[in-house]
Parts: sequence; C-alpha cells; structure tokens
Amino acid sequence: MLERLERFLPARRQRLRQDMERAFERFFDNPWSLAEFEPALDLEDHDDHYTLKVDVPGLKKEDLSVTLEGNTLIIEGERKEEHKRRRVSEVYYGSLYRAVTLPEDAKPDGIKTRLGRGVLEVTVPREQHEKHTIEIVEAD
Amino acid sequence: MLRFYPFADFEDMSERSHSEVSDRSYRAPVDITEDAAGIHLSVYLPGVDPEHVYVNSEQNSLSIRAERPFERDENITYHRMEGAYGSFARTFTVPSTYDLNKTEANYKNGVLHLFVPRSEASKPRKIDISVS
Repeated sequence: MLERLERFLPARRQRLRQDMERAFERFFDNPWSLAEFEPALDLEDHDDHYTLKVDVPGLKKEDLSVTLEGNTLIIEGERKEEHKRRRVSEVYYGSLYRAVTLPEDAKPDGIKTRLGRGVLEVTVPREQHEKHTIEIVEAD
Repeated sequence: MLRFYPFADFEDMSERSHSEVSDRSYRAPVDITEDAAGIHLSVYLPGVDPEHVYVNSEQNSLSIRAERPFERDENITYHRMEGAYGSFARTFTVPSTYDLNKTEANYKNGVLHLFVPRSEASKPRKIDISVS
C-alpha cells in the first residue's frame, strides 16, 4: 500500500507547484478569479485502471471540462450564480479547479468520463506490466 | 452542533440539531431561496442514490435524510477519499405561513430540490371595501 501510494507523492508536490504557477497566471489574467474551489476527490487504484471521482452536485455536462496537459489531468467547472435572493447559501458559486498528476503507468489514450448523480467519474487505463524477478547474485 | 451562518438573521427557518446523528454522518450544504411562490431548498447530495433520499414533513418541521454508503472493494487501493460517505440528516423548522403538506421534491444531478409553497392564508389578498 505504502509503495503504491508513494507514486502519488511526487505528483502532489508537482501539483502544488503547478497550482501556484496557475494561480499566478490567473492573477495576471484576471485578479478576481483567484478564488477557486477545490471539489472533493476520490482516487482509486484498480488493477487495470485508475478511477477519479469528483463531487460536482448540480453541475451539468456543459459546466465541466476535463483536459490532459502532459501527465496532469485537470478538472474544471463553473457553478453559475443564479439571480435569486438567497437566504442561506452554503454551496460554492464560481469556478472550481482540481488537478491531478497521473502516475507513470497511466495511459493518456482511452480516458473515459461519466457524469451521474452529481459525480464526475474519470477512468484512466493503466499500462500492463509483467513482473520480472531479478536474480540477486551474491558476491564472494 | 451550532455553526456560524452569514444569514444569522434568518429567524423564520431555524434548524434543529439531530440527536440521533452518528459520527459518520456528514452535513450536506444547503441553499435556501424564497420568492413569491414559496421557499426553495437545494440540498447538495452528490453520489446519492435517489432511492436513499427520504423527505418527511411533520407539523412545522421538514426533515431530510440521505445515505451514501461506502462499499469497500478489497481489490481497490484507495489513495484519496475526500468525498462524503455515510448518512446525512437535517431538519428545518418552517413557519406556518408555508404549507408543508404541499412540499414538492425532485432529485436531479446530485441535488435534491424542495419547494414549499406559501399557504393560501398567508398569500396577499385584496379585501373588498363595502360602501354603505
């Protein structure tokens, strides 16, 4: 478990850096767009694929985008402000952004997305590697 | 279980905390809007099966309960689990100027939409003036 998890750790560091760069870019583009919401993400490691589940309740297909930049999967969306008088508002309105650096064995081809019940599911196929045992030679 | 609300002056619709709520329960965000027709509530419940959403009205309270069970699969390694799983319950006290018996509920795209119309008695009406 720990070994498998390890692969995601450099990705996190990279993500932070990318997020920072992005924040800077965005700041110069439009200083008001800096505040972004990070939706909850589930990341599952299956034998032949990875599954990412992002909670996006109330968002429709046209409010969301999934892009792959190098090995970084970017999920963006926008919850539009309704012009109604809100007395209680606990949900985030505006843009949401989540980036995940995919592990090395993730295949960019064949990524599938599915939106249902307010959850965006992204399936990323994995490269299938055969396991080779390497013989250890003992030095005299 | 009190939480700060920026809309603390919203006295009409107070929320009661649930004693039966377990540690596993989570709090789903709610938007409440009001117009001439009545109150509209949006309860954000991503990933919840509509079959596991229960809405009850009793006297002047409106209760919402939902479940999003987490089904652990031994063949899957879970790296991140940020999504909210478990059971969820919230109760709102609705003033008598709204008719809870006519509550309409609809679940779409992970959001439960509730509409409580204003009661007939509370709707503005014109009073005829008799001229003697």
